[in-house]
Amino acid sequence: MKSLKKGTAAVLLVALAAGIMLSTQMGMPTGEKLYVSAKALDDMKVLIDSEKESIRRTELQIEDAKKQIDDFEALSADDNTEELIASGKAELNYYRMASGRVPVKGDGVKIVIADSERDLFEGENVNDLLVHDIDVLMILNDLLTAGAEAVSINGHRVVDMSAITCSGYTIRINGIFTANPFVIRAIGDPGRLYGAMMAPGSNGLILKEFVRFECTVEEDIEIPAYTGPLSYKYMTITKEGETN
Amino acid sequence: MKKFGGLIMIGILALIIGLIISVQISTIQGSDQGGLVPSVKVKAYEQELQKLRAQNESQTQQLIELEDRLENMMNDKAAEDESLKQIYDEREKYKLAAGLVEVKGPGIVITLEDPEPEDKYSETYSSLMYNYELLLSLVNRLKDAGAEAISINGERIVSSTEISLAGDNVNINTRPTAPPYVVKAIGDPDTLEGTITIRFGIIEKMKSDPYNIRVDIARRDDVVIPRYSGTYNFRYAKPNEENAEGADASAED
Repeated sequence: MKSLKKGTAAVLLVALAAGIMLSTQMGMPTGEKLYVSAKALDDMKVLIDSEKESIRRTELQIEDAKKQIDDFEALSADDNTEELIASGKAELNYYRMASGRVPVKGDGVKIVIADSERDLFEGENVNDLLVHDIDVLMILNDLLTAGAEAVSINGHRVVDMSAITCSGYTIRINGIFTANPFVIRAIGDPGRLYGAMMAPGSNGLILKEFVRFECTVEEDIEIPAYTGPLSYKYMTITKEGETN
Repeated sequence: MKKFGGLIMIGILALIIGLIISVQISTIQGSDQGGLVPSVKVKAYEQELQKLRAQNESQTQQLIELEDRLENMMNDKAAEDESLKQIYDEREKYKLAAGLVEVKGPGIVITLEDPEPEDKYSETYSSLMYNYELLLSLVNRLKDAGAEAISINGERIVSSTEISLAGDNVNINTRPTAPPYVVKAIGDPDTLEGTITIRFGIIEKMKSDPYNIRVDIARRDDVVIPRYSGTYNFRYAKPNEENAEGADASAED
């Protein structure tokens, strides 16, 4: 009888000790609590992902720079000026291509967007049947998301600072006025580009309900070079290391 | 009966311990839903972010040093050879035009923030992200006002830049972004600000219902805009120069 009670007491003690230990262990990180919305937490995770992506890219660029230095050293060690000029020209061509200063050719899609020709329904707003800048911006944005490599609108190459404005009958692209309709040509994976335009729920299909919208896959699309100036009035190159 | 006394006792204790454990675990794990979150968890995120930012910074520094070295080497070589110098000078011009160089100049900095959440429902909803066409419009207006370089949250706007809603995120240059959005533009500050703040213009639209975005516009003398950190890929587009030599030459005049 007495030994049984002793046993119980011992078990009780051990279990109690274990319980206290466990709860202090697990209770540690909960000490202080903050009120944080799910969105704030999400945003923080996005920032972390974004930073990781940025690091990954910088790593690639570092690799690239190292390789360039090695190549350059090898070439200049031999004093091979011809080779240096050749590789310099190749690089120059890449940058010209990247800045949209080279006319290009390739497979892709052709899109025509025009104001609708049908009559207005009763009570319908006339604006519904007209093409607005934002419609074209969204289509252009969708094409770029689908990996378009070069885009022209009404024969004008779309580059980094190309604005598209639409007022009444005229459309202004790269500061040049052209007339309705919008003809957009994009070079890229034709399947992906076409899919981005015509997939269910896409901006293209939504647009099609109101205005004229056509998308066709075409081969050997030609897109001209951007012929704007290469000089800038306001921006200058930051000398390396000057920032922060 | 007394034989079972110990067993009952152990049973009760096990029950209590089980309860304690489960309560603790649920308070730790349930935190990702938002609401009351252990501050340690938030701090861990913040620390990770800080660590990554520092890493990013030091890498960028390393990259700048490498590129400096290459540039010096090139300049040394170019000093010896005139035709090489010409190529390198041209190369710099086009590199700048392709957005592959960090630039600075006068301009404006626009900060866009989601409206203060009013209730539990609206705090999970980002007016800015789900209406990313506002960003597209804003950028288009800035270009129209003659901006020479634009960036959003450190992503340079180049010819291939997309602003796309991918799931719950807005990707810019394929990099996920989150509000607040900081849009920087280099150009004539008066024109830039004037163009976006006209009556019924894009800023007024952003500020009004149903978006209620908080907007702050500041003019700066030295807006710094980073270079495009991605790469240009041309897998489908091939140079088509034969018939365009003339056009190209005229562009260089």
